[in-house]
Amino acid sequence: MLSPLLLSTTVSAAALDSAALIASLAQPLPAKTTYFEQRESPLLAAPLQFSGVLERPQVGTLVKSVVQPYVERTVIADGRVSSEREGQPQRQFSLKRAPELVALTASFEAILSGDSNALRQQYRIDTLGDAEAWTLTLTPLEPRLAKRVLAIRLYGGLLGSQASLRCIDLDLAGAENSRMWIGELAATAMATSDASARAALCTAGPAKQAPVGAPEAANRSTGVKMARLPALPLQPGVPTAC
Amino acid sequence: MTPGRDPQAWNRGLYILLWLSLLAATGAWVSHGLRISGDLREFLPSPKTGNQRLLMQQAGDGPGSRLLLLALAGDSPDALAQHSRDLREALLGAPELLWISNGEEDLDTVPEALQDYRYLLSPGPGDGSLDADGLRQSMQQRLQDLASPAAALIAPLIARDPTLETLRLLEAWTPSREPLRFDGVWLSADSQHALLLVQTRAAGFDPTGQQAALARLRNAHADVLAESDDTAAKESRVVGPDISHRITLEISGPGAFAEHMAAQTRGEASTLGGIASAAMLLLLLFAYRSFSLPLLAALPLASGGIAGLAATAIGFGDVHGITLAFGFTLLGVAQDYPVHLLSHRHPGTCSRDTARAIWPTLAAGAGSSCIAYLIFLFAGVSALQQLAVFTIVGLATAALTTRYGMPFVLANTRDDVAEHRLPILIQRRFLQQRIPRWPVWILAGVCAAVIGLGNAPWWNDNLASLTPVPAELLQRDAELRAELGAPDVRWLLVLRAADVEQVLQRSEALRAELDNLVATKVVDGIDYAARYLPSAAVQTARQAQLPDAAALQANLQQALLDLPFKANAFDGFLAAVEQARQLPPLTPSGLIDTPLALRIESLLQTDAEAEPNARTLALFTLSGIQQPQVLAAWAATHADVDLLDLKQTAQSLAAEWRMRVLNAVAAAAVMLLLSMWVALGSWRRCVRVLIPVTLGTACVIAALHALAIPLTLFHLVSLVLATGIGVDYALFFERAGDDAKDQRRTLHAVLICSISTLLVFALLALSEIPVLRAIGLTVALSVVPHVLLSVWLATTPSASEETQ
Repeated sequence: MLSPLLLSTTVSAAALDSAALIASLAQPLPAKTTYFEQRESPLLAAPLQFSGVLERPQVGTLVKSVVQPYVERTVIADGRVSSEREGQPQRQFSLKRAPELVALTASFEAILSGDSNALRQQYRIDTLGDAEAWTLTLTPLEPRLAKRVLAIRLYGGLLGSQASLRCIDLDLAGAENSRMWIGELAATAMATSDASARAALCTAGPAKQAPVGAPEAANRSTGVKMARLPALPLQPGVPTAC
Repeated sequence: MTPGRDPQAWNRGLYILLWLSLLAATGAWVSHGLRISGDLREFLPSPKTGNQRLLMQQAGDGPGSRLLLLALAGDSPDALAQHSRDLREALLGAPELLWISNGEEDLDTVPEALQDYRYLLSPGPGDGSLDADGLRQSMQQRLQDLASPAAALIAPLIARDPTLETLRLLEAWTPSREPLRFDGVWLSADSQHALLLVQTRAAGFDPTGQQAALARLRNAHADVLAESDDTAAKESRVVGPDISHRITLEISGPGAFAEHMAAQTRGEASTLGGIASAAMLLLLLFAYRSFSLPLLAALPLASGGIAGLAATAIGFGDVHGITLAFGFTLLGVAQDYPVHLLSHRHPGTCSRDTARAIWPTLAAGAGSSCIAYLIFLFAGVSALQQLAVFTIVGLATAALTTRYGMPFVLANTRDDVAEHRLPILIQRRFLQQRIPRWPVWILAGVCAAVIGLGNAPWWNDNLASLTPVPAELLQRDAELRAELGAPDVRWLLVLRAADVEQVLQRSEALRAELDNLVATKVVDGIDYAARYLPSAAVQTARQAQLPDAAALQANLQQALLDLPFKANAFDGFLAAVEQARQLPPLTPSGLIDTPLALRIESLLQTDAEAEPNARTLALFTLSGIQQPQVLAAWAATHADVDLLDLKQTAQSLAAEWRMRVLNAVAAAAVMLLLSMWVALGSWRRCVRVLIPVTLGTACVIAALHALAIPLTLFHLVSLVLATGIGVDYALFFERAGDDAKDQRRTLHAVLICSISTLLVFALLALSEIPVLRAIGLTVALSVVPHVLLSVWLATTPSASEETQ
């Protein structure tokens, strides 16, 4: 069951307080949402695009699953990352070895639990915009982390009368970055082929209200044009076009 | 003459102060520079055969001796696993440790220097990972890796190592037998313990190094506990309240045992030393009815002890712990000398004259012991040489200070011990009657019978019995070793060839058979150098198989078809493979300064004294041997492979040194005889003294044999000491002759000496440490026979009487 990031209390259109904003984004357990992610790397000529489900089944545990164009499930809990991909051995490592994951998980935890105190201790939080379209920029305070993670940006606005999170940007050192469209925007972003239009979704919000249940359908859609990633299961040496 | 007005009192006080300050200064200097070693190899003779040389190397410095096994217990498997991870994090990079392993596989443990060699060390390229198909598969996976959270780890590698050969290398280097894994971390089979393996930088028998490593481990454990307590306190509002489970750390291994031994020795030494000193003081107090005399009697003792220590420190630089213990037991013997002086003083003569009078006998007793110990200087065992130096210098100093130093500090006495009740009683009862000789002949007969007919084993060849480590600790160590797959300490496979390259090639040739041995469960795991370092031949062959620049470029282009990687993304990879094609093969010297260096070093040894085509040894450490006979049979089918039983080699070494020590003891006996003959001047007197001494020694040997105690080196060395004691008593009784007063004084002295010796050595015999037990038992058993027999000597007609 999809549940967009909603809250019972509304947020006023007055000047935004980041603590209140984050508190308003809180999500009851278990939380689950779809996402569409685009990832850029200096090694890649064209960005990677994939989509899946983000879950927070209990406090301190995050599960990120990729559903399209291949299947992978990653569990982040207790300082450990455990990743499984079809046809590959399970991979496990300590969260401490991946600073960007630490940053990302911390911000997710904060947002989904509505508690910005821990976040405030580790990041500088800048607020931009108003209730209709706001941007929270998190800059790491610890130098070691700051070397790797340049910034995390959270875009959001109003969905109906509730505050909602639209996009999450991750800026990493070395010209790597990723952008995630969350919730209903995921399907819309997947459907949009124009890069600038997709980018505008974060600041402008959904062009039309997506009917309940449609994101699920969008996830299953195969008519979406994606960057050419081979779909699974793979036959060795035989590339399959999407 | 009141003491206060006695001008001599001031002089005496001055001399005492002088003596004490000299002792204190020397003592401070010695203890400052003294190093105590715990290396049991110092008690073994120099090895003769190749296997014996290997044994010595292994015992001191081998891979087994540096390994510490850690077990965490006391909480749920989850908590234990977390603690294990935290502990490992805390210990990474500690200078005292070479590596620490708890089952987590760490991507960044392939050292920088070796990454260039990955295409030569890894079998991947040979399996086709650089072909077009192989590359395509890798590229597809890496693409997905870039999207996944694991990108954080893989991304830096992809550009230069897209086929992840470094990962494959790490997997190849993990041990073939591993404990159960829970959440990525080693756990015991019953899930009650988290297991870790640590290798220390210091060798197993380096006490300070091991101490530092153990301290580091315990501190890290305490830190992790404190941190997790903090976290629990912070989270306690979320996670329910509770019981703080205390996770305990258990450390096992040669280093831990050495620490245990050292602590035990120290503990026992101070307890026993304390009790013994107190008892002796009381005894002397009672015997001389004076407070100052017992304290003065301590001066020659202390001088002897400190002089002995100083001589050993100067001569050898360090002192073995057991030598130290033995040396101090000497004091139980050296205290005889001042006692003789004190007992022979009487009103009318000054101490100087008494000292001069008893000096010949004293010198004969001390001198013959010293000469007997001189033999051990040539026994070829370094710890025995230390022992000899300590004993000779200690005894000689004690005797000389008694003769020349004590008169300066002793006032003239008003007490004649010849008038004490006990000596008079004993003399009347025992000495003034003719005691028949036949009981002594019966004793001799019984001894001979026991020695000749007793069927207990004579010799103890088991070197392991020298360690005082309790059996349950050794048992636990064996269990942990079995769980962790740590190498066996007893069995070793040895391959001999001319040089490193040949040894590696032979190992590779045997790889299939070795894998078969593991597969058929003959052995749980085999570790050898060729697993980490392929031979130059194999590396060169792999090099030849690497595609050249053009072919690799073509393969890469085909692999990247339809994949969104940039065209030049993998230039680094192309350059790396091209570089690998030019590299000279990796040799052990190229591994220096990498973590692999120590592993290879301990698995490849050279034996400079072997014949040319067996100079290099490859060791195959075994873990979990299930069927030793099958293993032995397999080893027998290859001429250059040997299954080495280290225990049996150790026993053969022990048997050899036994011969040597026995010869030394026999020579010492002869020297004793000769030196006494020289001292006494007459053959007849000499024989008269030697009969009780020989019989006394025979009694001790018979008693030990009757108690079914197999003899070790330490029994033999203490036997020499015990004989020295017997000689001392016999000589004094012989000197007293028929003079009644002198007899009583000698009785007094001998009684005190024997009771205090018995006390000290009986206490030692109660020790937990086998070596101290051996020394204590031997000497304690010898006191009574020697006393009785030398008293009997006093009842037989002396030479002077017979000539009348």
